[in-house]
Amino acid sequence: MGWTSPKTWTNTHVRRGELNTHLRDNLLALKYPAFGLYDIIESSDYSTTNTSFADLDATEGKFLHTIDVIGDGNGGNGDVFVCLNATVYSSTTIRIYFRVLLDGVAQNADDGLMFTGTFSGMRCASFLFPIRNVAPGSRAFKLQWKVSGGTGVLLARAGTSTRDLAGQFWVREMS
Amino acid sequence: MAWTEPITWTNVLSDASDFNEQIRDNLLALKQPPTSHYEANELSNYSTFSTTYANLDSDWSFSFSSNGGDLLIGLAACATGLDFGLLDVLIDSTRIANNTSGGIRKIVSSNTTNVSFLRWVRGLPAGTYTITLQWKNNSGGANSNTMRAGAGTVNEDVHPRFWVREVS
Amino acid sequence: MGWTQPQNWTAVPFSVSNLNTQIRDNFIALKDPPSAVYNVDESSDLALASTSWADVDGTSGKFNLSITTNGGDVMVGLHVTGAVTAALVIYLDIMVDGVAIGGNEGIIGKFIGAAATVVDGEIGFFRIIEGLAAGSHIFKLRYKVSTSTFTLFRGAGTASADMVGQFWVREIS
Repeated sequence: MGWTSPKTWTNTHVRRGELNTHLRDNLLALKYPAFGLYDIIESSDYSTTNTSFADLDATEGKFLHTIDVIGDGNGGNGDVFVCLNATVYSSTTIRIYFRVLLDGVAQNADDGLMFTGTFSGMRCASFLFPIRNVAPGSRAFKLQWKVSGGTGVLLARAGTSTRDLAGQFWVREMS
Repeated sequence: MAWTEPITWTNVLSDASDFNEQIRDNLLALKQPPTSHYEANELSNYSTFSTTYANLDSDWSFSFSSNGGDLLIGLAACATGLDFGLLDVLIDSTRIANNTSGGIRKIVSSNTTNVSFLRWVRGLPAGTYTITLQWKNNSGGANSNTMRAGAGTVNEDVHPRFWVREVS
Repeated sequence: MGWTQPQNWTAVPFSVSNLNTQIRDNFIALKDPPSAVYNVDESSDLALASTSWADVDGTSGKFNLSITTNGGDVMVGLHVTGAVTAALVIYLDIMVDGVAIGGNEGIIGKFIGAAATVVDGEIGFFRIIEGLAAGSHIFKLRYKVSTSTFTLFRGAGTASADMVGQFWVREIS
């Protein structure tokens, strides 16, 4: 069961198999698209001192989601939305940068998609953007980060006093 | 592929064109909704001293054909505004915030920071709209607002994206 | 009218009501899912000063949205602007049907430093709530501050702060 390119109907002698494939299965594919979500809850917060982009956590289902992309429904490429909703922390004044890789290829060149601005203390790190022209098939989306210096922390509801916050990272084919 | 409002079926002796319109075309319309998207990779960053709302430039303006329904409008960007600035979205001749002194997103920091937003516009009638990201410098002083545009600024070389998508 | 789990077609002749339920109603359900949006546009801004969890504004239709879902996932989003006169941290959480989804400090937090003057703070998130049962659900935005007051701008015409934010919920599957 999955998506099938909607057929062009040429007569009204409809077979039930056709209705199952072209109506039932396609409706279900629209209702439940490819989707990977990570509720960022761990026993310890994430931290980095990397000043070059590196993986946060490449464990499948965490900051790496491999999903089966349908595409545009007619054999062509489609769109996938990527979202990070998190809180970051630093005890010193730094910047934290984020980018997304698709099948190992950075989708945001140079210094990435966004950075937090120069800050110390807590800051929201939230973005949502579409990756366009994603080819049908199994696709891996991975979040990476880096800092300008010092140590950047991404809070993971780890029970840290006054910083016990639960973020999310998700990717979803948007029809 | 265009969306056609689903009919109420009154008999089962349907012809093939009904099935094509109601099933095939509507499935494709849901699968491939109207979408516009721009990712900046410019030679220089955007900046403005203008104290009235103006377009960033023509790349940030879309002619968007909607089937009717809801739109999701998003910006992922980093900018700086020592005298602080404002962002808004113009749909045809009406800004979303539609007020004289504000907007939907502020650029407020003296150092470059994230100015992203996501916005719903609900119940748009079917038709073609011009959707444009606009900004202004609120103080009009000696300092401009600057949005990074993948222009190679050291440690701030990010590539903003602006997009619109029909989501119903 | 709403979403009906697509049936397995086992016999053709099918009925008119089948076509309407399976085709018409399901397409409409996909095209126009349950949604609620609050454009934050009021006659005054809002002072948030509670150091323990509290509603931002429990008025129905404001930061308290209700939708009747078909069962599945819901996305909740927020984007607002505010200001402080003293350095503080503001924490946000979502309460779904009376149950908070975040940790002790919620789902997102932001430190906003201040000198002696008003300093502006943008805050926002997009959150997916998975697997809600079909039926009516209430989504409330909750907050607390570490100290002092976070003034939430509400399109009230405040000079240099006339910002119109948004809080929304939408069924996405």
